[in-house]
Order: sequence, then C-alpha cells, then structure tokens
Amino acid sequence: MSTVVHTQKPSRLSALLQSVRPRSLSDAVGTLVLFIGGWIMVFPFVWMISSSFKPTYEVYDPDFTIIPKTFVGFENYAGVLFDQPYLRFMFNSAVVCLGILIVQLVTAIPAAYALAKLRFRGSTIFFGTVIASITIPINVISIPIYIGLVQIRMLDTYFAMMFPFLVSVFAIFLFRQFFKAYPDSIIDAARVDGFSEIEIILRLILPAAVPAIAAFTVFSLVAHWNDLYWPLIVVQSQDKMTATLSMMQYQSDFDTDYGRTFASAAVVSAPMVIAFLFFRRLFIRGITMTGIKG
Amino acid sequence: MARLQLKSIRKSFDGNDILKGISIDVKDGEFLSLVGESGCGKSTLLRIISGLEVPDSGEILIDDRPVTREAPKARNIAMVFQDYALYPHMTVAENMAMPLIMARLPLHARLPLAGRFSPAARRARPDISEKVRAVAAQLRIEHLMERRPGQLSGGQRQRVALGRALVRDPGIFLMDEPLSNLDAKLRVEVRKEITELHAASGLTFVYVTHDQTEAMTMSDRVALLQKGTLLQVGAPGQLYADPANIEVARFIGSPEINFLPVEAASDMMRLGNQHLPLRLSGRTGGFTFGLRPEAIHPAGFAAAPASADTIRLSFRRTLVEDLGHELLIHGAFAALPETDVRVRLQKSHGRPLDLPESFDTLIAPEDLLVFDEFGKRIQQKPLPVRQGVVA
Amino acid sequence: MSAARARAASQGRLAYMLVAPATLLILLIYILPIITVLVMSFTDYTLVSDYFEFIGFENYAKMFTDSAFLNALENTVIYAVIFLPAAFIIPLVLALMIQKRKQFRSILEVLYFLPVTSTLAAMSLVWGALMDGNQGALNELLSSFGAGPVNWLGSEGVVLISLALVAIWSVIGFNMVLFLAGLTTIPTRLYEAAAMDGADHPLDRFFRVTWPMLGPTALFVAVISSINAFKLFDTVAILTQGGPDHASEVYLYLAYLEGFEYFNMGYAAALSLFFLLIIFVFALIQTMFADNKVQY
Repeated sequence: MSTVVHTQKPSRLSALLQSVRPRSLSDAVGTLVLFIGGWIMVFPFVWMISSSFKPTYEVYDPDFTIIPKTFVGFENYAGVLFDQPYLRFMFNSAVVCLGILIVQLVTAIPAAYALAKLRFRGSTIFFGTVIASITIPINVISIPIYIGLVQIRMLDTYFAMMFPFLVSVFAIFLFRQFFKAYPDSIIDAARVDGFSEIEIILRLILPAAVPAIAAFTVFSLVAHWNDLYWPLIVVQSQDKMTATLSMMQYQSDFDTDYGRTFASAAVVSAPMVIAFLFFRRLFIRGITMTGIKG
Repeated sequence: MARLQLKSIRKSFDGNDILKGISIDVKDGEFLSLVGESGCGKSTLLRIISGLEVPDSGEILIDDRPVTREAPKARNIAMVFQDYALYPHMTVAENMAMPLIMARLPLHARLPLAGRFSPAARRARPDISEKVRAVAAQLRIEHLMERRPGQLSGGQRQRVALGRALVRDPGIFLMDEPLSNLDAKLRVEVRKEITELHAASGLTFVYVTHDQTEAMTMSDRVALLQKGTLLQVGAPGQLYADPANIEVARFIGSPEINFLPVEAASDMMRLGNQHLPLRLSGRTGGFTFGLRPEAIHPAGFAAAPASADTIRLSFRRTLVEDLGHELLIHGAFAALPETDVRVRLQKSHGRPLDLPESFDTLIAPEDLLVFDEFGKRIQQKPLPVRQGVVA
Repeated sequence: MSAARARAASQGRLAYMLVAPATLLILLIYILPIITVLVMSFTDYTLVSDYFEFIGFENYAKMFTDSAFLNALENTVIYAVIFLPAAFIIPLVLALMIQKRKQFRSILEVLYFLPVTSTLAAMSLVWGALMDGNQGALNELLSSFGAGPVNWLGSEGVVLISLALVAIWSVIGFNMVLFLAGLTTIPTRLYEAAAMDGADHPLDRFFRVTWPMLGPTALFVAVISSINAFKLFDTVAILTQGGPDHASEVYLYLAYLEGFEYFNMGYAAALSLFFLLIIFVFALIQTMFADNKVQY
C-alpha cells in the first residue's frame, strides 16, 4: 500500500495566528501596552453603557461589574427617549447640523471655484479675508451676533442656532485647494466643447469633488452636533434644546436616577460614534482636515 | 577591495520565487554588472548583498567571511540608491559625514545637543571633517558643502551620494541603477566618471542596471539575470560573441539580434525555401540561427566579410532608418518573407546611399550562432559544404 | 481682442455671482461682528441698559488689574503647561509604535480615535462620575493599589490636572492620527540609507531621520494643541463651572460669564479681542516656522 503524503495548505486560522505572532519579546510587550492603552481609551464608553443599564444604586457600587446585576436597560432608555423629550433634542440637533451643512456647501463651493479657476477683481482681497477669518473662533464674534439676534428678536430660533456657522471659511479654503488641483486642460476642453460655466461646475467639478465634500461633511456634522458653547448662549427654551446642550441639566446636582443620566449621555453620543464605526476612513480623513490649514 | 561570493541565493516574496538559486563569484577589484529586464530579481539580489534583505537560503561571503545574516554596517559595504536617498534636512557636508559619525562615535556622543559636548565627539570631529573634505575634493563638490540636497541638480546629488558612499572606504561598492534619473547627455558623462572612479579606487563594484549598453561599456564582467535565474556570467565581449542561450543573445546587442529558423539535414541546411551549403556535423533537425544585424553585409555597399565561404542571400527591404553614420535597414530575406530582419550598414563619409528595394547580402558562416530546439546554444559553427550547388 | 475682453468680463461677472452669497455671509458673520467687538471693547456697554459711553482703554486696563482675569489667565496657562507635553509626546510614541504593527493598526486606530468623535459634553459626565471623590471608579482603582483617594474635581490643587486628563484622553487619537500621517510621508529609502550608513539603533533612526522629517507635522500638532488648550470650555461648563473657588475658571469660561451671565458686554468684548490676539500669535508662530523648515 502506498502512502500518499499530503502537504496541506495551512488553514486560515493558523495563517492568521502565524501573522500575529510577535517577532520578539519587546514586540509582544509593546503590543500589550498598546492594547492596555486602548482599553483605557474605551473604558469610559464601556462604563457609560454599562451604567445605563443599571438601576441608580448599582451605578456606584464599589463592587463594580460590567454586566449589570439588575438589568433595567429598557426602563432607563425608554425613560430617556419618551419621558424626557430626547427625541425632540436629537431632532433639533439634526435640523441645526443639516441646515448648517447645506448652507455651508451651497455658499462655499461656488466661491471656492471662483477663487480657484476664475479671474476677477478683488479675488486677492476676498481670499485674504477668508484666510484671516479662519483663525477667528466663535467665542470672539459671539457677543455682537448675540446682541444682533436679541435686537431682531430672533433668539431661541433655529435661525439663531445656525447663523454664525452658515459660512465656513474653512470650507472655502479647503475646496479652493481641491479645485485648484483640477486640471485646467479638462476645463478648457469643456469650454471648447461648448459647456457653459455653470455646466462645468455642476457636471465636471462637483462629481470630482465628492471625496472632499464627503470629508468636510463629516467634519462639519461632528463639530456642530458636539457644540456646546453657542447653543448654551442662544437656546432659551426646552423646545429648541439640542442633544449636547441637554447634558448641562446634569451638571450640578446629578439627576437622582444615575442610570438614566448615563443612558441619556449614551443616546447623545451614539449617532456620532456609530457613524464613526461605519465610516471610519471618512471620519479620520474629515476630522483631521483641520490639520490641512495654510 | 574585497572579494564577494554568492552561493545559491534563494528568495521569495508572498509565494513568488524572485531568486531561484544564484551563485556568483566576484573577484577583488572587479566591476560586475547585474543586468536584466525589470522583475528579473537584480535589485533584490543587490539588496541581499547589502544586507537590507535576508535570503531564504544560500550564503554570502565577503573576503571569505560569512555575512549572510549580518546587518549592513557589519559588511563594510556602501550603496548608492537609484534616487540617491540623501537626507533632505542635512547639508551636503552633514550627509557625507553621517557614515563616519555612526562608525566612530559611541551612542551617547551621537545624541543631539548633549552628544556634541562629549569628549569622544570633540576628538573625532576634526578627523571626520577632514575626510569629508578630501572626498568632496575628489568628486569636485567642495563648493556645495553647505547646500541642502533640495538646492542641487540631479548630477550634483549623484556626486553627493557617491561621496557619502566613498567616505566609508568600503570594501564593496553597490550601485542600484544610479544613472536612470539623469538625462541622456549627463548619463554618458557620469558613466565615464564612474568608470574612472573604479579604475582609480580599485574597489569592487557591483552595478545594477536594465540598460545593456551601460553594462557592456562599464564592466569587467556582466551577469545576466532573467526571472530569478542566472543566464550567464562573463566578459561583455564573451556574452556578445559566445552567448549561452537565446535569451542572452537576444538581450545583448543593439539593435536586437535576428533569429532565423533553419532545418538541418546530413549534407545541407534549409532556410525557408532556400538551400544553404552548410551542415552541422552529426546533427539534424530544427535549429535557430542567431545573426547579428552588423553581420549581414549588403553586396556592393559594404565590404564583403573576409571569409572564403560566404553565403549569399537575397534581401528585400521595407524601411530604412538613417542615423547619420549608419543605416538601420528593416526587411526580410527573400527565402523567409515572414520573418523580420534588421541590417546595420555603416556609411562611408556620411554620404547618402541609395539602396534598391531588393539586394543580395553576404554572410560569413563564422558569424552564425546556432541554437537548438530548447534555445540552448550549441558550440559548433555551421561547416561549409564545399561540393554541391547553391540552389 | 475684444472677444477675449468680453470673455474676461463675463468671467468676472460670473465670479461675482458665485462669491456673492459667501461674501454677504462673511460680512455679516465675521467682518461686522469683529468691528463691533472692537468698538464695543472701548465702551461700557451692558445688555441691560441702553445707555453706554466710550471709556477708551479702561476695559483693557481693568483686565490687567482684575484678579479674576489674572486668575483665569494663570489657570489657563497652568492647564496648557500640563496638557501640552502629554498631548504631544504620548500620541507621538503611540504613532511610532502603531506604525510598525500592520495587523493591529485598524483596530488600534478605532480604539484610540473613538474619544475624538464622541460628544465631549456627554463624556464629561462620565468622567465626572469616574472622578467622583467618594465613589468614583478612579479612586476605587487607586485604593486597590493602596493609594489614597483623590478629590479630583473638588480640590483646588488637582482640578486643573483632572481637566487636563479628560482633555488628553479626548485628543490623543487625533494627534496620533496626524503623526501617523506624517510618518507615512517619510520615504523608507531614507531609513535604508541610514542603515547602510550604520544607523540601525532605534535612537539613531529617530533622531537622524524620523524627528527631522516629522518637523512640519510636529510643529502643526504643537500649535493646534496649544490653541485647543486655550479654548477649553465644555468640560468646565459641565463639571466644575469654574470651581472649586475659581480654581478651574479658565479664560473662555470667564469671558462667557462676563458676557452672558453678568452682561458686562464691553468688558467681555475686550476679553474676546485679547483672546483673538493670543490665537493670532500662535498662528503666526506656525507660519513663521513652517517656512524655515525642511524643503526637499
């Protein structure tokens, strides 16, 4: 009887294990340290969600366990979403963020194209103003805008919540860089073919700019969803309160129902975190866009 | 000056065999070129010699000392990269001093700021500056010492890269396609300089290039690689006149050699529909002739080859390229109209030549290279058949 | 000739149309407000009374004798000094470590970047609970090592450190990703050349190749982190409201209180302008040094 020798291809599991085998002791220690650090990064989230499932007395239980001894998650979250107008708060945040984003894109993209590809008098002044304005934070212009809103009695409205952010000089700067890189030769060829300028913008430039627009969208949505300062100033009634702003109600005396407090914190953080987990690459590119300044 | 021995070097990446067992012996002071098309493994081989890669199996010996797994700095080797890899944030002087600083100063003296004040550093620095200046003078770049690489031209950067390598007094000098980033004119100039450098320094050079002209003109020996195997190692003239197989013959020589399929019978050979008064002693069957463009002599326009037994073949031209000093004639032999053939014809005194569409060519049997059906070269040359009539 | 000029003119017209909306908004949102703030800083305007008068540089003089202002400035600087080194070095080390580990890179990026995307105001509540003086998880952890409980948010000496810890936590991933991006631009060739030159010790590689090539990125991270340190607001508003006893009253929080709780608008305007000046200085440092750096 002949023996047939099989050389088996290594199974996928063993190939995987092989690839993560540390090359040296220091390599293993380093990886361990990295993951311990990762655990520290993630622990507050774990604690938050765990507590959101617990009844009040268990949240600060010295005998801490991640899995709640008594699970009251449904009650806590139901309480947050329905007893408290959290759905309203989330809705307000969404309206404000989307409104801001749309106006930002609609004003910035044409302006950026003009700066990048067209010649007109005053373009240098305009661009100079854009650059200068990038460094101006909301904290500096908040007072006059607030007073202005008070004068026209538009405080505590969606308009007031969106107003200071409607133009993003950062978006203008960013898109201008991007458009500048678009080859002039393609635009000239389109002009020769008879495209009007508007058509060129809509049909050629815009589709090509989608990655930049996507990344900026992430940046804008995250920044304004998480904003505390301006809503704190202009929102007067619970009707217009944003999700992030609602965190302020827990500041001094903690709500007696601790579990519910952290359930609401979880609800507020959830959209951005979940979006991050799904669109990780886009998020990282978008948020680190603040990195690509002049 | 060091001797380099490679024994059965094997290397694969991701399941692809890049090097399939390369063995070469490089003599002390020799200029060896590694040539081949892209993907043949020459750069990988160079990196293995340098120590940047470790072979899967095989041995490397420098001056009879095994160094197969040792780090680059333990091998007394210097390397010039294709894109020079100069440190962009350092001046030319600092770039060239780097290897000496690494070699002569202990770790604590090398640290920024504090290291500067260590006694070891203070003692070593004047020697280092002196050596750097000497090498810079040799390469005629002293006037560039305080500049940064970003401010230099391609040729100047090249010299700095050479300087950084020379400063270490290496035993072996490795170069990875150093001329490919230069324009044509500069290339010829620097080629000459590298050859002179080799002659003056007597160092062992291992030179990687895909350009066979460079390899042929600069080297003592040429090693031709194809898909990870070594096809042949030998002096340039030897590879030209005595190729081991069809691949070598095809690679060496510009314009490319002509290949003609022939049938051999016991007393004659046939090219297409034409009989040739030639035979291969003791062999019959299908063979391939390798015939260099310069070995085909148009009758009446070129001097006939000095041979008693020239073969006469009718040739039909399709395209003539005039290069000034010579013509490159494209066409085919009448006997074999489907096979493209190139002919090189020197012009005397640059005078224009008017070639008819069809003309006879003369070929010396000694110029014919014979390859068997596997592409391997057989040593015998075709013998003329004295009796018998040309068909 | 005139066809070209006509085309140029129509291009110009189109351009004006395209920039018009943005220009209007920039005027209303940036230019007018800045001018207003400037003018307002020379008055004693308060929202509650319609009557105000110009008081020249009095607001600015007041700033430098006002103990609240000096306290806020001092707090902010101390906070920045605690925050910056950690916010710079830790992400750099992490980036260096992660860059080598290809297999784990994705999951580690997720873990470290998660805090960056989260809502700081919400997570501050969580940190407030973790840092609770009596029952917080942090003190539980310390006591298991035998160390005494720390009154993280209630003790004047420690509160700035606690706030810095939260901020460092939230920014590590961000700076780490920036450093990672910078590291990937360093050509491997340089490390190989360095290895040929004899520099294969990790310290040599770092000081001779990595750190110099990382220059522009490092400068950027330093400047951005400094500016962010001065912009501290959210955690103070949620967790300490400036306490205990003004120990965590930082610059922007004071400006907020002056403007929107005490309604001393004129004074708050002066504070805002001074803040803008600080930011400008940082931005200036960035542009000045960025030009001197590596060209290649």
